[in-house]
Amino acid sequence: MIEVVDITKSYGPKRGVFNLSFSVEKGEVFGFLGPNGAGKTTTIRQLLGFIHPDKGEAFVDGLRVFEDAHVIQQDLGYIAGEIAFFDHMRGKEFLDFQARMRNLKDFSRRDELIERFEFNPRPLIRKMSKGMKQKLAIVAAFMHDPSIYILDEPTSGLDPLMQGRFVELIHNEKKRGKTILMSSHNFGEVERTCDRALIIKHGEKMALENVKALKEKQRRIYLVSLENDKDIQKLETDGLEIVAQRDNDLEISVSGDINGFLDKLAQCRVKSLDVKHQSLEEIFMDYYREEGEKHE
Amino acid sequence: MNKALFFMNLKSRYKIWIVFAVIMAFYKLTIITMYDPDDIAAIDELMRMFPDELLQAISFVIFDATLTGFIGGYYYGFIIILFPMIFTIILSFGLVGKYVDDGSMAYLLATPHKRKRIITTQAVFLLAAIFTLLSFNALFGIIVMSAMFPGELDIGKYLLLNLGAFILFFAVSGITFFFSSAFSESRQSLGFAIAVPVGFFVLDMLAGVGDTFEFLRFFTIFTLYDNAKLFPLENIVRLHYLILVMIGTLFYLAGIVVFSKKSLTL
Repeated sequence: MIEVVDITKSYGPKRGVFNLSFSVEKGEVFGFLGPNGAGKTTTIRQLLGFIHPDKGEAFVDGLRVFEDAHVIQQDLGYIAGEIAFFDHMRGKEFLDFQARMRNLKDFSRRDELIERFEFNPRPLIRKMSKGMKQKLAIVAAFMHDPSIYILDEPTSGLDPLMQGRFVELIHNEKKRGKTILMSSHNFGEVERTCDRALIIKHGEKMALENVKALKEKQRRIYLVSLENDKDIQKLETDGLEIVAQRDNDLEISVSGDINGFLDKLAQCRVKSLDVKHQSLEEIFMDYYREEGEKHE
Repeated sequence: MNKALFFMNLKSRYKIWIVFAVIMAFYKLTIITMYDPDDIAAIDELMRMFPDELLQAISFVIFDATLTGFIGGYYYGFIIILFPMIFTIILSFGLVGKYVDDGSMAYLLATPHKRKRIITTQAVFLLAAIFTLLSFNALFGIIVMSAMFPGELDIGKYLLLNLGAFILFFAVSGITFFFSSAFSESRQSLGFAIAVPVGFFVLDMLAGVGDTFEFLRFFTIFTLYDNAKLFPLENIVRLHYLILVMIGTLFYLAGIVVFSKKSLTL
């Protein structure tokens, strides 16, 4: 459905995208992961036909992304990474304008989306909060019920409740057979929604993985506070990987299945247990370290 | 042309149109009121209070003692340039360059329309706004003058003054539209859209001051709108208007072509 063939768009060394190829199948939810500045938005702008690549080409539904952009747009929903509206409008006016641009007559989807996200479209856009603007962008991208979505960081600025609603929406759309390309720097979000994920860094492809497999390989760091030191030795001899220790506070690394770890922990007196927040890059680093170890 | 976009423009720009239409009408009313057919010398005396160079620079000189010659000098020398120029700059940047700079252009292009159609709509709107602004002003003048000085206005010549103004701004707006469409950052798109017409305007004023700077008139398009050549009418006016039409057409087309092909960081 979406095909990127060896595109390069350079904005200087390590800035832009370089020799990137991937394809998104019909009916697939495809995650596009990478830290900020990795080249996700640069890739997406090319798919929308906004910028020309230095080399390579891309197709959406078999159509050329630049020349046939107006045809592709008939059946595409898009959320920009850096959203800018026409500030002088009210939310409602903006949606009406977009509907007219698309010759949209059926507003049932729009109303459904407004309800789902508890969005109030009446205020002036320039007076809206970041979260409200994001909701407006979501409604505008989904209201014409297209069959392909290209979404650049669609949940940025949304609170956790609304992020959850968005994940539901993606699940629904997937069930209805839609094709979705979604960029994110949030691993959790991709984990919950996507079938496959492409990971890029400095504009280069680092991995293209089944999300389930990625999840299984993921290493988590648990922060454990114990009541007495004797238990520390016990955990050590049990073969757990303790990566850091300060008094009775331990950082324990667990890969894949966590039940073994929990069984061992159950035999100790635990004061507190928490998961250390890992940045996307840390997750990738862990991921690649493991890949490396396997090859050795 | 895209109707939805055209009406969106209309809705968001009608206020600025009204502001300029009112200001320009106010000035016109003031100048018409100053006309006294029996005592044209009195006005001339009044004007002599100002340095001659200043009046020359802003083309504040009357062509003959008729009503048409009077407003042809006092209105169509300076005011008809200044206000439409500001209007043209604001509007041509607001219709394209601003949307590209702040990224909202994405919401015009992420619709099932060709880029060419979107940008052509903006060009047509810009031209329509200028045309209606100047037409309203011309009509307002006719109504006021025929009420205050019935039978004194040479309508043919008056319409020629206004036609010339529109043709001039067809060219000026072509240039500002081109810069607004060709550049992606407001620093450049707005910068050039201001600098080039204002630069031409300043050169035109300098060229009017005296012989030293007279050669500058070859470096500005504003000298092609030379109303002295209408009193009496000279053939060269036709050529001037033709050149202006060609400049405008060229820049509008170039703006549309460049915008339709270029990379836009939206």
